Amino acid sequence: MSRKTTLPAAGARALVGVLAVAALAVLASLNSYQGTVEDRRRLPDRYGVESSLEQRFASVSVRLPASGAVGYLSDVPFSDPAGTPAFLAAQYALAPRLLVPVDTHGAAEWAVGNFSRPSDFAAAGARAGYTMTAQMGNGVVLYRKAKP
Amino acid sequence: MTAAVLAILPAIALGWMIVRLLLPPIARPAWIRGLFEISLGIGVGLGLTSCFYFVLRWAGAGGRGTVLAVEAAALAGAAWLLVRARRKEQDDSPPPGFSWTWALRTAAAVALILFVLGLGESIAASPHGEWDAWSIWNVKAKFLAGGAETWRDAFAADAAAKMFGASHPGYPLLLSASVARLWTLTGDTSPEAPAALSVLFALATAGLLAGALAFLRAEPVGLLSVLVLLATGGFTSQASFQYADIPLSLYILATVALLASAAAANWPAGLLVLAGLCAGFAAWTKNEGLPFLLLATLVVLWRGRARSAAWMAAGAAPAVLLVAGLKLFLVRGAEAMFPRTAAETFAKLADPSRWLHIAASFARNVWELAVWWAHPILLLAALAVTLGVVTKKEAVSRLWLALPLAGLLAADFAIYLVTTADLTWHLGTSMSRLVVQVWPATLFVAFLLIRPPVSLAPSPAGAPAARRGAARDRRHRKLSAEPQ
Repeated sequence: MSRKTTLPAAGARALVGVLAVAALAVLASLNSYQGTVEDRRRLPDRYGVESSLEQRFASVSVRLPASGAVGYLSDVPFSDPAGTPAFLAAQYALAPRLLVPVDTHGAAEWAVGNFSRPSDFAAAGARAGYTMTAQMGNGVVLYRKAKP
Repeated sequence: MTAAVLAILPAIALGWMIVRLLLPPIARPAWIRGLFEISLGIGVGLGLTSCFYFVLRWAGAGGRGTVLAVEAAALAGAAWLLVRARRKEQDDSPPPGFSWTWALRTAAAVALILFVLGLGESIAASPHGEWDAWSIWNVKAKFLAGGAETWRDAFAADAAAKMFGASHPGYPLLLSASVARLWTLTGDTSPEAPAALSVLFALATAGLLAGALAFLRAEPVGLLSVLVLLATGGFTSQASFQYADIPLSLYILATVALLASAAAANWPAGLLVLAGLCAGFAAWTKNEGLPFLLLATLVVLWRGRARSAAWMAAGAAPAVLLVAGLKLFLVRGAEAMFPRTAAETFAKLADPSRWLHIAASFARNVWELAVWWAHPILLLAALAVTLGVVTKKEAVSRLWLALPLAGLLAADFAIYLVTTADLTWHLGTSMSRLVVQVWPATLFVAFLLIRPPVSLAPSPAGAPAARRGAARDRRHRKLSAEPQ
């Protein structure tokens, strides 16, 4: 068969292929966009980072020294699924201070409490060698090393 | 956001000038040249300013004034060299070819708009990024930006309460140092800075893929590649995460694209230094960048001989020295995911269920890159069938570019085999990101193997437009071999 008849056929096939791929790609992009919008509606502030920064730790942050280690007390242990995100969100909110659990770094002058429910915050601090300085609300407590 | 964007501009300007200095003149339309140079310049500029910032911080001079002074000096030096070089561009009309390029341009523009809108939605929903952003990369940035008293906590052994999977003292710091640089320059720690960087890295990756393929092949190929990339939900969804994986994908793509360009131009020094620079930045971005750099250099040693590998190594040297300095002199503590004894290692290697588990996870993550009806592999297959693929000889001459990518995935596979972490957890929290790291470069190599679309119109002389286009394309592909 002559080239004149076969090449246009090949060209038409190429055109259909290219345009189909372009159309599918645009539809996939639209699908991704819709998925993003739905995720935004469904999962706002999934790990509590936004609330940690804006609501929970903002007031305690201004009362702590700008740098250095800060102790961390919580009623949510790291073995609890919520323990790790709670600690890491608090660390992010309070950085560049280095947050260290009080059982591993008792020498920190200041400590913050990050509690999930009301309890005797002063007693929790005292057990770790800290005196409660202020309750900042939303389960956040400021402690200072107890004087011997 | 305005302050963050303004603080990014010197980095882009510096990167663009260095790319202009090292890239040979390109005989391509100005917009393709511009897209290629600016996308590459974003990566080079952010990489360089990140290195400057970290070195200044290490030297005890990481304040705003010093950072600005060093960057101004670098900009002035690069500008002086650029003026002195007096490049003569060879503007050229685009090669004849596909008469439906306008449709591809429209589709790419729509996809890009949807991508940017999606980024905006994601950033509005999670302004501090996803888990690794605020637990690793941005918290390290806060330590670095905190000044002389806190910067060493970015690689402290007791960071993140020494938690497995959260404390990574040995992680390279390109992204964190870039964010810290912006925070130091703007004077606050607003989430706009890392968000702006994540958008920039993602757009630069898309721009570089399109620009490199438009430059090496033809404009429709570049447009198709960016359409397929933006159809990859795995890539687009991670673009706003503020993780280091998209920046790493940019540096891997840049290295591979520059090596492809270097091979086509008889290995000019300028392209090799740029490729080395980008491979070095890959190592300064994530640990996965180190085996990639090694593999890419070995491949250049094989294809381009010792002199080419030496130029590439010279380009990579600054970032490699920085990574070595970080790991040897600064990092306290180590990753806790490797076995302690040879016996433990061999036991894991000899367990066939681990091999199957990892292979299945890899296959699943590739499958989950996108919706099935527009899966990028399906789209690539459709293009290969309808457009055809290059000859076996041409394929062999290009497939070597995939070797560093395959080698990196093999290294990742080996890490999974011996990891002491729960394998299901380790795969579930990282495999999708590893696939995305190599995805843009994989698309680049795939599109080098597919023929470009050509015009439907037969030539007046009876010769098919395809053949004329291909001949013209070959002429366009020739770069000046003169290093700058």
